[in-house]
Amino acid sequence: MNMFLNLISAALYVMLFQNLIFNAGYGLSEAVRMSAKPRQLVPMAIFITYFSTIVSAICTLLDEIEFIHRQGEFFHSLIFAGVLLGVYIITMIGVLIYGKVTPRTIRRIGIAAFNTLVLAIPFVNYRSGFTVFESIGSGIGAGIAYIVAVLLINGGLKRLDMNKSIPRCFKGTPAMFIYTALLSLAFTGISGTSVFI
Amino acid sequence: MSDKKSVFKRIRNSALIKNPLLFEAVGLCPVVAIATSVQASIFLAVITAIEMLLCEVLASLLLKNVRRYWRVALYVVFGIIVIFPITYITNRFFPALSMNIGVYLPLMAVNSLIALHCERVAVKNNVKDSFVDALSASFSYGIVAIIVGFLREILANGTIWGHSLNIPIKFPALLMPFGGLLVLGFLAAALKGFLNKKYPESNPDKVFDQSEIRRSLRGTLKELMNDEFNPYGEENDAEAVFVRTKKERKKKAEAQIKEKTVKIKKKKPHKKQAENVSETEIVSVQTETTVEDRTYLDDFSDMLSELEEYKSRNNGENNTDGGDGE
Repeated sequence: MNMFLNLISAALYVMLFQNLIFNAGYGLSEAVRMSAKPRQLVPMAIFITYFSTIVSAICTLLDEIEFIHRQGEFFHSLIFAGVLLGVYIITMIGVLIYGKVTPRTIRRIGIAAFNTLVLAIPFVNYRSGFTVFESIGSGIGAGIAYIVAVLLINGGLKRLDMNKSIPRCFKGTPAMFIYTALLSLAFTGISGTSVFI
Repeated sequence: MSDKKSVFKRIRNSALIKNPLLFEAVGLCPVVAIATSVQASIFLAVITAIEMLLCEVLASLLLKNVRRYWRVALYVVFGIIVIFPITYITNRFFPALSMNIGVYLPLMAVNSLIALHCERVAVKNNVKDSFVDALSASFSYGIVAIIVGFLREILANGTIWGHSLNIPIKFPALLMPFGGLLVLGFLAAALKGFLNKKYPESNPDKVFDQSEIRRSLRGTLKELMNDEFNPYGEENDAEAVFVRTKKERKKKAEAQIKEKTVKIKKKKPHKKQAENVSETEIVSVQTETTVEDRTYLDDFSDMLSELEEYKSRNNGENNTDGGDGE
């Protein structure tokens, strides 16, 4: 029960209180690009959650080895990148053996695996001193954070697109950046960080 | 001269109309997080340029015949080769800068900008073109990053390169990611306003396709998985790059041109041959070359050669028939 609560609290932490996309900018490009193509949300979220959860759990398990635990952050970052590469290669081998996969799915897997959000999760776990269950929770939370970010940005983009009073030079990406900045500000407020002194 | 002009034009287009940061919204994470001062921004621009140049040149040299799903992993390997020594040197010799940058430096190994340009340009072009593309993209990325860093340093800290400007009002919150996004938004608007005046024919909105914003995200998983997937506008034909090896090319060619049959109808081609040649003759020609190598001209020359062969065979038969008769 306690482990389950740890998992949930870590997921909520990563998803809401420290939304990694809005508060830290991890995986921001992917979220912004996908928000313009909402049909991609579900498949991408599944793959991102898969990679972030597995990489997160493996990295935390590896960190329990005394030799690795004693090393600094530079060595850990090498391990994290290596684990991500390893998980991707194993996944691709599995996918190729399974066979019935379209090039589109393979492309999705590539983009979902190699983005800053997935690679940042082991760093967050390492710095926060998360246990294995908390790491799994943070991995799942990263996937949900991605969904939250894409849905919020997409909702805003729809309204910005309909708004005829926006000046011409602000239409498109400028308005999208400013809207995303306001969302980021809101999440910074939720995290409890002091914005105005 | 024209070569120099085209290089300049590519750099201009990349910096202005197709700016990777302001209009394509690629590689946002490092700029939003790291570019909080001029010093850090220059550092970011230099690292991105080194990584980009190396990755694109290596991709152009080595990865053209590697399948897409391994290529993506190899870009990360190249990124690690470039970024991790820099991370080590920064940690050791510039601890203050390292503290500012934190985990964002190792995360640059998976920068989407690098993978996008390697896929879009490097694996389809020669080394020179890839080098020019890397140069133009890293220049346009770096220049925006430096401007963002410059503005955030002035507005948030009231300093330039650490020297105080004695500005009475400061906004330290701009050092947070939302500050970076806000500055990027206003910069994008300024650039768009400039482009609308100076190059009215340019359409920077084109590079960030928003035509699918209103599409429903509902559907069965199978439908969603089979949906068109090209978020970065890399290419229209997803399978074109996926199919790389000779074996697969051959297979694809076989699928595309199954069996080409040319029907040549000949009605009395020559008075002398008319008695011996039947009115209709069907000649089937199987193409052996792959679809990439074929053109209409090739098809036409094949047909001509078949016709010549057919004529000479008939002439031979006529001669032998005539001989027998004699």
